[in-house]
Amino acid sequence: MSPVLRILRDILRSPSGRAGVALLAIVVVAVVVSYLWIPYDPLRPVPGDDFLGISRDHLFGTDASGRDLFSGVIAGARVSLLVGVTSALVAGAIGTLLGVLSAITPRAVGESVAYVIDVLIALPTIVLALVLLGLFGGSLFTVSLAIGFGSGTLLARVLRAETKRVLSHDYITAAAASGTSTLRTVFRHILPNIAPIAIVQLSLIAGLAIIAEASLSLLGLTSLSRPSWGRMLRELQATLSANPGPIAYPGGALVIAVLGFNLLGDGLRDALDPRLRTNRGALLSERPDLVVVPADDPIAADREAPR
Amino acid sequence: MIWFALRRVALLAVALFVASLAIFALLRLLPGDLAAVIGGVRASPEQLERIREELGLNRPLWEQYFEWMGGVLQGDLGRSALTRSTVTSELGEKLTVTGPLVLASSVLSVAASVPLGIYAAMRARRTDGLALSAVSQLGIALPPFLVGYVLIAVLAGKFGLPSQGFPRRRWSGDLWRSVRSLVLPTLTLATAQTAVLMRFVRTSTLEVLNQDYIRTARAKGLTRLRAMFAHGLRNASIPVVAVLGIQLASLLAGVVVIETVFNLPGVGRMLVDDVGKRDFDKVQGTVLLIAVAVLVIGFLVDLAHHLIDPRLRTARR
Repeated sequence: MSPVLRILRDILRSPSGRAGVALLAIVVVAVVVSYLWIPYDPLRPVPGDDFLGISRDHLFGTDASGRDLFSGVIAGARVSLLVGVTSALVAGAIGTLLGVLSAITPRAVGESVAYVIDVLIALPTIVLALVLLGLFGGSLFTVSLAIGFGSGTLLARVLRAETKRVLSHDYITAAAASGTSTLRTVFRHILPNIAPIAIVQLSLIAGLAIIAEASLSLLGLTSLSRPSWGRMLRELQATLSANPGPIAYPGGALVIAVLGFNLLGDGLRDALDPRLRTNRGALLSERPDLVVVPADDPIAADREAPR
Repeated sequence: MIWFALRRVALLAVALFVASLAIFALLRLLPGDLAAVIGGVRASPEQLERIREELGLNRPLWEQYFEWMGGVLQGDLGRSALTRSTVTSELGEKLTVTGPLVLASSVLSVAASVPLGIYAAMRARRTDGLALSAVSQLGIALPPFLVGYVLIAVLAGKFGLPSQGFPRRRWSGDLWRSVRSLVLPTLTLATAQTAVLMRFVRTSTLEVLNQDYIRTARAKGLTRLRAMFAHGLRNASIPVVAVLGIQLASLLAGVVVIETVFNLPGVGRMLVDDVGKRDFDKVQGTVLLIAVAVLVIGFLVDLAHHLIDPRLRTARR
């Protein structure tokens, strides 16, 4: 069986993985449907159609200005999924590059890079994204880049610790002794060994990115021309006390997508990393998300070391 | 301990310097021409020149940086381009709302998550313990603003709590109303934090409960609860304290969104408004304040870490 199929099978074996795949399947179906059929223009207000209830014409009803909520939710799924995946890819590229480089370069260079990363983490992702959007406008590309960079620094810290752990193994010394070049060591030994941790983290980062994008849209900083869940929430919030019901649709969609990525992360952890494998059959993993090892902390390093 | 603290203070100073450089680079280097960003696409060359003159953008970068830093060290963060009042005074005013909000919600979330997490760990195989962890798992996936909407929908009407705004005259006017305006935002931030923190408390308690010394304490005749409190608590608190710093930092990020949802005139709301109004000198000062707060929290957490865990003190030498 090919490795990809095997991983897929292992994900589906763990209950969290199954739940995650099921939830994400709902989001993917919504995206596919949105390309085939959107009943109404989700951005165009229809006077007189405000707060229509659930009916065959309006599956989720309408908002205060008569926009169809079902159309908005499925059109918004595109943005959320796209931003989630793109941000995770950006974060993966930045995190792997910085994490691995800071671990294999000479101490003076590596430690200073790690130190700068530690300081950059002090800038919360959402604040960084806020400033970048203010400077460069709120296109989807800018949004993903900003969120990806913010989470990429966090990932870099995790992957640096992981690379150092890999580097301490005997097979690395053996490879060096037999004359393997650093580049080859990176591709043959380091990357395959840090990949499981990275992939799990990226799944969690995709979830965080979806929340971040929704927050930025909620603050009114993203492009007006695209329907998104955050944008819908921003408009529904104005009538929250009079009519709280409709908020459940974009809100519920958001929770489905985020929970989907979180649970998929748990499932991936079970499938990819036997070291971190939690007790099978439990829906809740015992490992906290985004385990960040404090910089040069001997006790934490000790705890992370393989027993 | 003294030496460790001194070393950490020095590291903190370097970190603050690097952070200020990063923020300066973010706002002055990255945009290319900041004057064009502020002026917009339709600004004439003369207008751009005037903006550059006003902000000192026509001088060398290092000079701009040192002038800014010189001001910052004397407590002067510059002036707002729009209101012309000093950034420091505006921040100080906004902090009277944000400060209590952050403080109350962090205290509340720690006070709630520690007992809840320990309870969930001690009853990890019972229905109630599992249900508690399932709720926290859901809470982690729930963005803070959604928690806010739910609380507004459920509590605001029932208890007559204000869900929007803050009294104009701040705390000096109607004190009771000011307090009540902060109840829902505080609960929102605290709930979102509790879900995450509780999971860490639970994980670390579970790990400790499986240790040999707890089994020894039980064999000695201690009840599960007493063994946990006498021998487990301090050990379990070590990883929790480590994540506490990261969580407090994420709380500061949450404030940005929550203050807008609840329409509170705080630092986070101001930052969002300033970004919209392109008041970048003020943005620079506010972002610096947030970064400094996060770094100082990290520093304090590190000190606490060393007080709790004596192994770290010997390991460093």
